[in-house]
Amino acid sequence: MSSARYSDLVWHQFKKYTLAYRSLQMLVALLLLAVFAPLLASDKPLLWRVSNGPWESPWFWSLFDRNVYEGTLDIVFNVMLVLGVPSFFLFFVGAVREPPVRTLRVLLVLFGILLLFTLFHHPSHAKISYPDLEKIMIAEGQEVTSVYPLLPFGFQSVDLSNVRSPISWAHPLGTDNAGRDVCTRMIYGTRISMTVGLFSVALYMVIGTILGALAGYYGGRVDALILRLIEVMLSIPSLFLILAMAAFVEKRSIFHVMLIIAAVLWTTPARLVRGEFMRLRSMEFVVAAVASGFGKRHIMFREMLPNALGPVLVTATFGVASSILIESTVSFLGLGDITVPSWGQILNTGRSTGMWTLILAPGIAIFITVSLLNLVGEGLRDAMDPKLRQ
Amino acid sequence: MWAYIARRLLTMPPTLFFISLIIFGVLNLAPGRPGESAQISGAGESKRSSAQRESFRIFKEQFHLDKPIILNTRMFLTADDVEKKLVDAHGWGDVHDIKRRIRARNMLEDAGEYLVGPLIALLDHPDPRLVSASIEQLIEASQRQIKPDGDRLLNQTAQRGNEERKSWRCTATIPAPAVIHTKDVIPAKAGIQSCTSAVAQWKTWFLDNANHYTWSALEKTRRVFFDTRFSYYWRNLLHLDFGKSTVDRSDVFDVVLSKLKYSISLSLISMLLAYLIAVPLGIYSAVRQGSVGEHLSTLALFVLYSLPTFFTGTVLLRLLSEGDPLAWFPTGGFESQDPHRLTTLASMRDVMWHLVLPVATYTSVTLAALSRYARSGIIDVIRSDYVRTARAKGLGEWTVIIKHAGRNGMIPLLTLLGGLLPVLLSGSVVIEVVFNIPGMGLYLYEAINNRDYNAVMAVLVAASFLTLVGVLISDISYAIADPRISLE
Amino acid sequence: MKLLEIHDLKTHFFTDAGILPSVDGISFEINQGEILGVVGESGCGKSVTAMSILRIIPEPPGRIVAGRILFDGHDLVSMPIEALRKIRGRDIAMIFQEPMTSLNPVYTVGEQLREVLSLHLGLDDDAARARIVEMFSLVGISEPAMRVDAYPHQMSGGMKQRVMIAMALCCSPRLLIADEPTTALDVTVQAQILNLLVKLRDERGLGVMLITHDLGVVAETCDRVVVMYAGRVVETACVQDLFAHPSHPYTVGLLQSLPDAAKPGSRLQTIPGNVPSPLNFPTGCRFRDRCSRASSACSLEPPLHVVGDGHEVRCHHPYQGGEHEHAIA
Repeated sequence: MSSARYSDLVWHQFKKYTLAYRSLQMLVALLLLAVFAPLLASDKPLLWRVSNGPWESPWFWSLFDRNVYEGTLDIVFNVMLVLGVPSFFLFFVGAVREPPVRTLRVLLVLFGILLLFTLFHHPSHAKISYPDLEKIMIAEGQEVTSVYPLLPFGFQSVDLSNVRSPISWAHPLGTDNAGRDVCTRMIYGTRISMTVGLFSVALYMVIGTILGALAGYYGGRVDALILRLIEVMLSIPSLFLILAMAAFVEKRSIFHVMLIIAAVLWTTPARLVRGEFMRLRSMEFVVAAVASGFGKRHIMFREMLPNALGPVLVTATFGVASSILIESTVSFLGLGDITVPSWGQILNTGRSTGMWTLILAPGIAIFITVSLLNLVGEGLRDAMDPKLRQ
Repeated sequence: MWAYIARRLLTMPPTLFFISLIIFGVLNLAPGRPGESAQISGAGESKRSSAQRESFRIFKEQFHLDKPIILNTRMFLTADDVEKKLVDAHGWGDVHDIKRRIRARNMLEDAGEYLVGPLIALLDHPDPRLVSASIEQLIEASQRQIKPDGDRLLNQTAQRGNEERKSWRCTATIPAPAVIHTKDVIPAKAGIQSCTSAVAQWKTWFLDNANHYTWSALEKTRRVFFDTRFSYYWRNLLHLDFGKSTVDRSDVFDVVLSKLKYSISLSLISMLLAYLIAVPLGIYSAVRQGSVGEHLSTLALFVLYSLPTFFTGTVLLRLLSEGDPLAWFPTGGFESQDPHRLTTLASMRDVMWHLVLPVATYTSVTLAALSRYARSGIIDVIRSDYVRTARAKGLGEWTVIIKHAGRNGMIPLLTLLGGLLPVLLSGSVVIEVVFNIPGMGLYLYEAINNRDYNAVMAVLVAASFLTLVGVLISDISYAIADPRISLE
Repeated sequence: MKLLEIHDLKTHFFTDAGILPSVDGISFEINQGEILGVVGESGCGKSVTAMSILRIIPEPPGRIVAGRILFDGHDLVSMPIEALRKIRGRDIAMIFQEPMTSLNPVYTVGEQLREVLSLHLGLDDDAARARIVEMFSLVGISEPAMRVDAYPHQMSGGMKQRVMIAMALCCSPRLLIADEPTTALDVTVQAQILNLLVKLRDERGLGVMLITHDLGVVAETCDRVVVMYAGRVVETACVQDLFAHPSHPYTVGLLQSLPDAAKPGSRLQTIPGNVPSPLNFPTGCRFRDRCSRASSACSLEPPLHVVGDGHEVRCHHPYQGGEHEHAIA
């Protein structure tokens, strides 16, 4: 049973679970929403012209501007947007007929270059509020032509003249107690949740898999030590530990939160991989690989790991859901990154102000995301279960 | 059975040891020193007034935060090392690196008694500024700690000595070291002269007190390992002394114990409720597979499973007690403001009334987790061969399900009990914060916001201990329910 | 005297993939004091037949869609379930294939027997205990008094199967359904248990429906044999007739694949192909795809031939007397 064929088999089976498959599609849509956030909501005009001056796009340049997007996270997403939109378009039109692997590689390199460029480049735009600027200029009698995204708001742009406004066409979810557009913040919040989910899970899957693999492969003392560590980690209520760790980090960024989540949750994949490795250790193909004199690293990560990866993938899916839940809990308690519009943060504002839009919008968003992930995880688990496969 | 429990109890201390080790590591190695913000009030480090610095130093001493974390090598400091640090601390070096200055200052402040020897040696330094700075440092380093529970008489002597030594300074001509920023060199002779009497006083004092500040090789080795934060931490843990709260100086362990009753009653009630609902529901959906009711309950549980606790709690609170639209339940707390006025019965009713929403929220979370296992456990059992045997024996359907499927199906739920406890405790933070219940979770939350190091520590250790006990209980009940598990 | 008569029984399973006609119109009867062997490859519907008699097939997906099962002249299929429960365990008892998992692991074996005794015979605890010890020694459990309080996991597989037999026999049933009772056991234990069944038949006039795929077992213990294939009965005969003059090509195939049937030095014969999936049984004779004698006629339902006294075969081209010898040779 070759690995590629096995994954095809699982994929084929997965597609049969309509609910799970649709959920996966919706998750992809959510991810696209995160990438395309600035196209939907930004207070920088897509196109801008004063009198008969040249056409400009403050929006485009703001994508790489650390004065607009303070967090690295947003910049990364923006680079994905800049690269993703054209390549998506090219795929769509069918202009690119190259084998996708190569295209992906080219894209990845481009992505890296662009990212490095933006991270070390500070095109320090002044913090201009274009809508305000436009009003002033029009009042001064200048002719301004501008095209804004659907929601002409930034996720941090405070408008104290428009506080707690109800749901309207201009503000689909109203504004919060500082006059910020809730819908905009929700859209940008997708970025936080998606990143926290994917990144922290990727991180702790790696930690857990390596430790679990070592424990399962070597057994004996290594195993006893790692197992003890796992046992100890499991006896500390995880949210307590996460909160305590978060509390002692000064100037928490969203990356700190991810690291902390990863540092606490690695035990699940570790236990799993350990069990799988112990099972695989006595299997013929591993014994054969040992007998043929392959190195330990080769055996562990080339021979055994691919066979243990299935259950790891399933827990990873559920892990993304629980990481998102944990991040929003931490933010809800005010111990997360207070500069980003995380869903938990918005809900916290909702709780303190009692505004229903601020409670329901993030709550339902979290619920839907977590549900979708759980559905996908269940579908994946069933798809991998040979007992259920026809 | 008893041997098993005893053996399990014996394995608990090492596990607790490791747990405390991890908690200690987390609290000490995380960037940002615990406790620091308790004294820094918005103003930056450099602007801190000397009175504030002094109180911060005492605070650090009290909580052993001035000690090195694992190994103490401070008794090996030489006069040269200390000189460099003094230069850095006063910004006399070429580098005006503020971070380096703060580091050096903190180091000098923390090293305390270990500085005395090297500082006395520095009194002969030709640079009057250094001599003056050394003297100032000596005043601080030679302060004898005054413990509240120490010998009173000794304390008074020590106190008098501390006060007396504060006057052994260079005469006023030399600017106070704390404000020296200039590179203008004060005429060497005048400087040295203004200090001579103070230097003499210090040297005499040192001759009398040298035994306090020089250590034998054995003593040095002992101190390397034991005069550390880690070691003090352990000594305190063994005495179940988690120290005092840095907020209100109360004994954190007592506080945690007093908070436990709220958290435990809350989580026990919800756990009980969750089991009471989950088990029949599990049996129902296993027996009536494919029915409309089964689909509905599966859907409901799935929804519950994905709903975040804080969302459910906030919505319930808003809907049913904050008057939007209803105000049936109290908006928070465990009991009414003045419970003593009520009779026992009325106060019980009062508490129950307060607990409706938190328990409902709590139960919904637990229930969702539990039901999945209850259902799949019972489904597995209902398809098992021995249930078929029971039917073939002519037993009634209820006997088959309750006696033969029920007990077996419940076994996985018992193991879950142990795993559920940390989840429940974790959930308590959110629930207690949302509903303002003065339990362990809320205490942790407040301690975290106040950077109350000792309190956080005590809560974490207590919660882990509770978890261990929970796991033990669930293992024992598991072993009782399933005769295949031997308790040998 | 006829103890149990099955007429045209059909038990189907309604799954997502389609309807599985696992038992599709079978008829046979069991007489008092007779061991009836039911043989066939796995998946041919033997166990489903057995479970249909006591109506303990997993429902859903399974359901008895047609047929009658007469026990003492009462139809078990249409009988209310409460009445059937009084028959289960008391008049008709069953032993399952897997002694390892057929006993409830959380109760002592004594408790599991006591339950039946108090249910059907109304015995109190002391009487039940005495009866259990008696039953245990009957089925050859050593130290029976001590074993009463043992848990299943403290016993060996053979011991557990004896407990199962003791449980089945403790209310003195008239019919015992034994679904591959010895498959999971060692050969020596197997022989002991089979001897026990024979003894019980001889001493108590017990009727036994012995399901097995092992023709050796059939030859040693059974009086009559029903051969099943793909949910149908293909041949019924007394045991001597069956071995001497097998008529159905499938029976012949089964006999040929017995090691003792093959001449020393010759290759062991096998039946080509596999049992067809219940989802797509062939029309007409379900064996025709694997049959060397098949003709176009076989796509029609095969007729029932009476080839001897109580020897019936359902085939278009049955082997006539002695003909099979050539096939084997």
